[in-house]
Amino acid sequence: MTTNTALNASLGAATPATIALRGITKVFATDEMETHALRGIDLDIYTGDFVSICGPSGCGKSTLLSLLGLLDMPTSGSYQIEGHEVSGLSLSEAAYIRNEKIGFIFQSFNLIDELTVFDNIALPLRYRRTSLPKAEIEARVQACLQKVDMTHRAGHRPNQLSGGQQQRIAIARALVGNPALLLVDEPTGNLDSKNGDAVMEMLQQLNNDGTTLCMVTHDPRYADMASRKLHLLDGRILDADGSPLQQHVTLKQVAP
Amino acid sequence: MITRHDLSAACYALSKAKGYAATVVLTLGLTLGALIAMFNLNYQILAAPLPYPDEEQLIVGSTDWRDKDGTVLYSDMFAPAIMTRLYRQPSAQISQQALLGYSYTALTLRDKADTPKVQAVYTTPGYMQMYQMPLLHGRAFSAQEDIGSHQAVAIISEHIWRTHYNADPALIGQTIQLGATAFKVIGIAASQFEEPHLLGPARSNDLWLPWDFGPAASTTEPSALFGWHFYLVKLQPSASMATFSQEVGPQIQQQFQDGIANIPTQQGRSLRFAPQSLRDSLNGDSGNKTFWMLAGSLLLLAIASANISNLLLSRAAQNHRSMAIRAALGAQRHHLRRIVFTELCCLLSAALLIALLVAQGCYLLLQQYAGDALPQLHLLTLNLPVLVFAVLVSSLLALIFATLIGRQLDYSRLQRGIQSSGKGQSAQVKSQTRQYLIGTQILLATLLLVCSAQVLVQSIYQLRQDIGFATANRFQVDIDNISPPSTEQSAAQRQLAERQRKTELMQVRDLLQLHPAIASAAVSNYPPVAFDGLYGSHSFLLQAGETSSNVRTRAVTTDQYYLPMFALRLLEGRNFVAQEVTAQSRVVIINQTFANALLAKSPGDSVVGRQLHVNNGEPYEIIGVVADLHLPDQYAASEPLRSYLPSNLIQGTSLLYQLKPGMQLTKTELNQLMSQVSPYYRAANVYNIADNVDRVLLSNYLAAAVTAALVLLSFVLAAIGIYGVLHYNVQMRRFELGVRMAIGARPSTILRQLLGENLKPVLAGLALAATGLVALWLAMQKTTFTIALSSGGFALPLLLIVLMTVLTTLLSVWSIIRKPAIYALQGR
Repeated sequence: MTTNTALNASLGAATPATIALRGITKVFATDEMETHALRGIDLDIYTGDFVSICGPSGCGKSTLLSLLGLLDMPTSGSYQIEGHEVSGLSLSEAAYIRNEKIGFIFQSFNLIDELTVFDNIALPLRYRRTSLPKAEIEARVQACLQKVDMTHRAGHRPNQLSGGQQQRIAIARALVGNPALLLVDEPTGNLDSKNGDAVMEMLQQLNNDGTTLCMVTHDPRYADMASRKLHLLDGRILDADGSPLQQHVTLKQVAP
Repeated sequence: MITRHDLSAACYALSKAKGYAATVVLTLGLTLGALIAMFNLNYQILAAPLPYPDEEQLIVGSTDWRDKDGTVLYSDMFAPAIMTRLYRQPSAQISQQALLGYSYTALTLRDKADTPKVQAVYTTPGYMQMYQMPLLHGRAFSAQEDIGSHQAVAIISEHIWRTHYNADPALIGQTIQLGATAFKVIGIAASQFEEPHLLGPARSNDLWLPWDFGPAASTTEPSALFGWHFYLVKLQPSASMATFSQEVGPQIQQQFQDGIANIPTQQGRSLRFAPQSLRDSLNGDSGNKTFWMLAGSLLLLAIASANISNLLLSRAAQNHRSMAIRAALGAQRHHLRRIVFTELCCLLSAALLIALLVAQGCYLLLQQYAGDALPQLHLLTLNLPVLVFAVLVSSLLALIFATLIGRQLDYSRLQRGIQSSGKGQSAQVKSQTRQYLIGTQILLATLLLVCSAQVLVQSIYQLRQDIGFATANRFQVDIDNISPPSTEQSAAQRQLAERQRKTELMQVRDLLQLHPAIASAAVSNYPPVAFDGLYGSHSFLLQAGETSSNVRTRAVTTDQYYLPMFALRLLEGRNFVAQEVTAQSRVVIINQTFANALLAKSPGDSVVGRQLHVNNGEPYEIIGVVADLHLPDQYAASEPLRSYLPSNLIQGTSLLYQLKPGMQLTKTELNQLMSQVSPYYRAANVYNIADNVDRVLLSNYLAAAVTAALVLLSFVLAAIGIYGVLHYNVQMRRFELGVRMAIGARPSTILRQLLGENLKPVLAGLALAATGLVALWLAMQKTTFTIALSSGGFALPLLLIVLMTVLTTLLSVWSIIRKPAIYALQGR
C-alpha cells in the first residue's frame, strides 16, 4: 500500500490508476522452445479511459487482454487493480475479482446457448461472493437490457438472435456487474459494418457515460474512436514513432 | 444448492442433446431397474419381516436320514411315530406346536360333477394359532379336533369357497365329500392368509384337514419315514433352537435306533434332528440364487456406468466452451460442479423413474416365469426400503459421475480456454486417451458378451436336445382313489387289493383304448416326467446276497403300452408282453446308463438275459434296454439308473393316454369311463406331459431368456459405449476432418481412415479380452465348475463387435461426411 501511495504521489496523478501494469512479461514454454508473448509491459488505465490496443497478429494483444482480465497470470511483473496487487492471486480469488471488477465483451459473443437472454445477463450477478436479492438482480438486468435496447428479447435464447443482437446482449452482460474495467476483444470482428458501427457507437456512449474501456481491435477506424491508442509489436508497447514507449517510471525509480 | 435457473438451464441443455439424454436415461434406467428388482428380491427373501408374530421363534422340525458312514440318504424326513410321541409330550421349551403333513396326491371335491382338484394339508390346531390364519367365516380347529380325535372337520380356502360354493356362508356346518370321507366345513380361511410354503411356492393348499386323516397318522413303526411332513414349533422367548435341538435330538435318535433294531438292512443308519428357522425353511437355497442374480445386476450396472462415464466425458468436452465462458465471468469451481451435478440429477431422476418401471416389469416377469422356483415373489412391489435403496444408488451414481467429471474440469485451463474459444478451437482429449477409452470399451464388452453368449449357447443346446421320449398329445391323469385303505390289512390282503386295483385300472385303460379320441393308453405309477416331480424307486443288488452292490433306480411300474406310447426307443431286447404284466413276472427293462454300469462291472456283449436281484427275493431278468432320457434333473446331475417293471401298482397310480391329433377328452368322460369299472376312481386332474417337460426345463428356459437378455443388453450397452467414444472422437476432430475434405479427401477416404484408426484399439481390446478369458478359464479349471465351451459362443460376440465397430464408425462420421466440408470447418 505504501508503494502504491508512493507511486501515485510520484506520478502526481489527481486520480489513481484503475489498472496499473509494471514490467509484465508472459512466456509460453514448451519442451522445445520459449515464446515471449509479452516483454515488460508498463501500462496505466484511469477511470473513464477508452484505450484501444492495435497490432499485427501474434503481437500479444490477446495475451495482454487475458492478463488484464485475470484469465491468465503473468510470468513476472506487477498488476494492480484499484491499488490491489492481483498478479499472484489464486484461481478462486482471481475469479471473484474478475466477477466484481471486470466485464468482458468477446469477438464471438460467448453467450451460453442453454440460458435465456435474461439469464445470460444475470449470470455474473449469480456468481457474486455474496448473493444478491432476486429483486435487485432483476432490476439490474432490466436496466442493462434497456441500455442496449433489448428488453423485448429477455426470454429468448441466444441462437434466436442475430449477431448484432447477441453482441448487444454480451455488452449488457459485461455491464451488469458495474465493472471497473470493460475489456473488449475485437467486438466487431463477427459483425457486418452496420452492426459493427452500432456496437461501437454503443461502446462510445458507455465511455461517455464514464465506463472505462480497454479494447483490442484490428480496425483502425474503431481504434481511432478511443481516447488513447496503443500499438503492440513483439510483446512491447510502441510509441508513435515506433520505439518502445516508456509510459511511466518503474516502481524501482519511485521507491523511497 | 440447485436453483431453478440451474434446473431450467440443465433441462434446456438436455433437450438440445436428446440422443445423449435418451441414451444415458435408458441405459441407466434398464440396468438400475434390474438392480432394484434384484435388491427387492433379496430383501424379500433375506430381510423383509414374515407375516407371522414372533417369527424368530418359529421353527420347522424335520430330520436327516443318514447312512452308516454319515452321508445323508434323505433330508427333510419325518418319522410320524416318533414325532407324534413328541407332540403328545412336548418340550417345556416350546409355547406352541403343530404337526403338518402335505397330501401326496390331489383330492377332488366329489360332490361336484367336474370333481375339481384340491390340495390339502393335514394338521393340528396349533397351526392356525402359530400362523394366525384369518377366518372369513366359522372357526379354526379346536382342542377337540386335535390328534386322535378323528373328527372329520375341514377348513377350506376362500378361493375354493367362492369358486365352487358360490361364496355361500351356509356352507359352514355342511359336509363336503373328500375321498371316502364326508368332512364338516367349520371355517373359511380368508384369502389374505399367507400360508407358509414349506414345499416351495408352487404348492398352495385349499383344504386344512385334521392330522388323523393324513397318510402318516396311522403309522406306528418308528422306522417309517415320510417326506413332506413337518413338526412345527414356536419356542418360548427364553429358548433357542440349539437348546431345543439338544433336548429333542437324542430322544428322536434313540427312538429311531430302537425302531430299526430288528431290521438288518437299516443297521448303522441314524435319524438326526435338523430344525430350521421358518425363514430358512421357506427360502431353502433361494438366497444363493438371488444373491448371484443381485451380483450379476450389479456388474451390469457397473459396466453401464463405465459406458455412461465415457459419454459424460464426451459431453463434458462438448460443454467446455460454455464452462469456459462461465469461468471467465467469475464462476467458481463449485458453480461449475453444480451445473454438472444439476444435469446429472436431471438425468438420474429420469433414469430412476424408468428404473422403477423396469423393476415393476421384472417383478411381473419373475412372478410369471419363476413363481414356482423362487419364494416370496408375490410380495415383490415398490416399498419404502426399495425406494430408499433406489434413491441412494441414484444419488451415489450422481456423486460418482459428478466427481469424475469434476476431476476433468481443469479450472485453470478453463479460464484460459476462453482466450482460444473464439478462434475455432476447443478443448481436446489426447489421442492416446481416446484410444484407451475405445480399447477399454471393447475389453468390457467382449468379456461380457463372450461369457453370456457361452451360457446362452449351452442353454439353447439343452433346450434343442431331443429329450428321448414323445410328449405331444400325451396326458397324465392324476387319480383320486377312494378305495378302502390297505394299511389296516394284512400283507396278503394288501397284495390282493393292489392286484385288484391294477386289474381295474387296466380295465379302464382298455376302455380308454376303445374311445374314438384315444390313440393309446397305459397304466403306470409315473410318466417319464410327472406333474409333481415325483418318481418311484426300486433297489437292486447287482450281485445276489451282496448288500454292498445295492443300487437305487428310478422305477416305473407299468404295462406293455408304456414304452410304445412315449416312443421310448428299445436299443436291444424286447418290450413286456401282456402275459408278463398280468402275471407280474420278474422281468425288467433298464436304461442305457444302467446297462453301461452293468457292463462296466462285468463286461460282456449285452446285459439282456442277465439277472438283477433284490433283498431276499427272486431274481429279475433283464429283457430289454431302452435309450436314456435327456432332461435336467433336480435330484441327479446326470442321467440316473432307470428300471421299468410290470409289477404291482401302488396308490397314486396314473392313467396315461395319447390323444389322436385334433381330438379331445373331457374329465367328465374320463370319470364316466372309470365309473364303469369302479366307483372308487375319479380324475383329480389331467396334466399335459409337454407342460410337465416345460416345467422341468423351466430353469433352462429362464437361463436362456436371462442370458439372451444379457447378451442383448450388453451388446446395446457396448454399442452405446463404443458409439459414445467414437462419436466424441470424431467430434473432437471435426475441424481436422473438414480440412481433409477441403483439400480433396472423399467421404469414403475419411471413413476408411477412421475405420483403420478405430480398428487398432478394437483389436487391442479384443486381444486383452482374450487374455482375460484364458486367465478366467485357467482359474475355473482349478475349481469344481465344469465348463463346456462352444465355438459359437466366441464367434458370435467377435462378429458382433467388429460389425458394431464398423457401424458405429459410420454412424459417428456420417453427419460430417454427408455435408460439404465448410460445415465441418465452421463447426456447424
